[in-house]
Amino acid sequence: MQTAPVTATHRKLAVICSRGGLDEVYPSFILANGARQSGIDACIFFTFYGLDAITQKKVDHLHVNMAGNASSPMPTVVMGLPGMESLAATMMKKKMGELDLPGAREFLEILHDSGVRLFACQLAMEMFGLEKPDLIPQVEDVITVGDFFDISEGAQVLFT
Amino acid sequence: MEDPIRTPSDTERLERKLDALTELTSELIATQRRQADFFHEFAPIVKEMQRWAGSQLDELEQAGWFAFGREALGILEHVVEAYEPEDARQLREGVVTILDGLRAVTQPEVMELVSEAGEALQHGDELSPVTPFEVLRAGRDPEVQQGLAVMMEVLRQVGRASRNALPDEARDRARRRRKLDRRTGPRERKARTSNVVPLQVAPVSTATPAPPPLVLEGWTLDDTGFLAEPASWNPGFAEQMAAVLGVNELTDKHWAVVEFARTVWEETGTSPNIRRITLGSGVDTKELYALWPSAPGKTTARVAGIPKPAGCL
Repeated sequence: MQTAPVTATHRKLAVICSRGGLDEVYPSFILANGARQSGIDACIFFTFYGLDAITQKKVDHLHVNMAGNASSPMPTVVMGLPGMESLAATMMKKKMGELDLPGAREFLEILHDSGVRLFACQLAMEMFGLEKPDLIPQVEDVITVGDFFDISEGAQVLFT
Repeated sequence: MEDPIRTPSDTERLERKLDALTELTSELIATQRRQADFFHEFAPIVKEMQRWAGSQLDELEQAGWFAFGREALGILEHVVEAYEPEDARQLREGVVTILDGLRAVTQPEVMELVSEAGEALQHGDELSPVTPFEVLRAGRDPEVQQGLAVMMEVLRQVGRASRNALPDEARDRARRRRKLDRRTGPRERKARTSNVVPLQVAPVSTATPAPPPLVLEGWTLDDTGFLAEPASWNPGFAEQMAAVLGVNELTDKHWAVVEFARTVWEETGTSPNIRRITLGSGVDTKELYALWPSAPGKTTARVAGIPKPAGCL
């Protein structure tokens, strides 16, 4: 039996982004972007707090919550104090800038231009009282979970 | 047939009536006379009063009372025009409540509270801004705690009042609507998203990706299909490699990207990733993805004869 070369088979990736922290949306972005760079079709389905990443008002103000994070260099007690979360976000953004990582809004533009399809969860939109105009223009559609499974047919699904 | 008037009983009755009428008339005349006397006596007093009232009114006129009154009537007129009789009836009922409220507000302790709050506001500019830590510390102050409790109670009352202020009909409608929505879900949106198209294969480029050629006539490639000796590259190799990868004709943009990638490699010794290429070559992300069948970063490196780009972007 012969196995076909990897790039000959058509690969698809569907990422579900359910969290809205700066450190929680970037893995989704980088994975989807990396997939497109490797010639793999990709889409991201934003649901629950993940919607923050595609909401016009919030995309530029994503935060990092270090409280309760076992990998945090600081104790949870300290990270829970007011202002620490935006401090952590500022530090992380600075570090990302040094690495020439694009900001969340720019990253989403790159993803869209790279052919990553961006979708928003209808139920979560209703929960947060959002409408399509509240989202960044790169979002293709607001869909239900059933639509998501139609779209991701044959794809590898990643939940982040 | 007998004439009824001519009976004796009728005559008697007539006489009695006549007597009564005569009595009434004399009484009336007496009253009239008394009234005439009264007017005669009262006239000087009335005249005096008129004179007094005239001077008083004149003074009032000079003080601007009538101008004010006319304006006030104008206001009343506006109010009458703007409101329905039903509103006025409700207002009449509401007046009692308003007065109750006023009485509550004008209690001495409330007045004291207001004046103290006003004082605090007047000296607001002298207070220094509060940090989050100070907010926490202030939370332990019993006076602040009491103040917060009062404010919360006020908010509770406002909330209750505003809920009651909503007309019954509207409230019922909203409740029915919510109940229905819970059962069926919002209908109009469901219909909108039912015709979603499934993910299309290769949305950016129409060409199908080819398996990587591991052999290229006249050139030595490494295990992954990249040019083994980047220094030996020439434009002929680029055309040959591009053709194998599915691009038969290299446009100006292809060349711009390839040359930029080679320049970066020559200067830094590393292959540029997609972000570097889009920022430096003047070809944006969308165009770059359209240039090559797939994997634009890797394909650019292969055509440019440089190693596979490292990194995640």
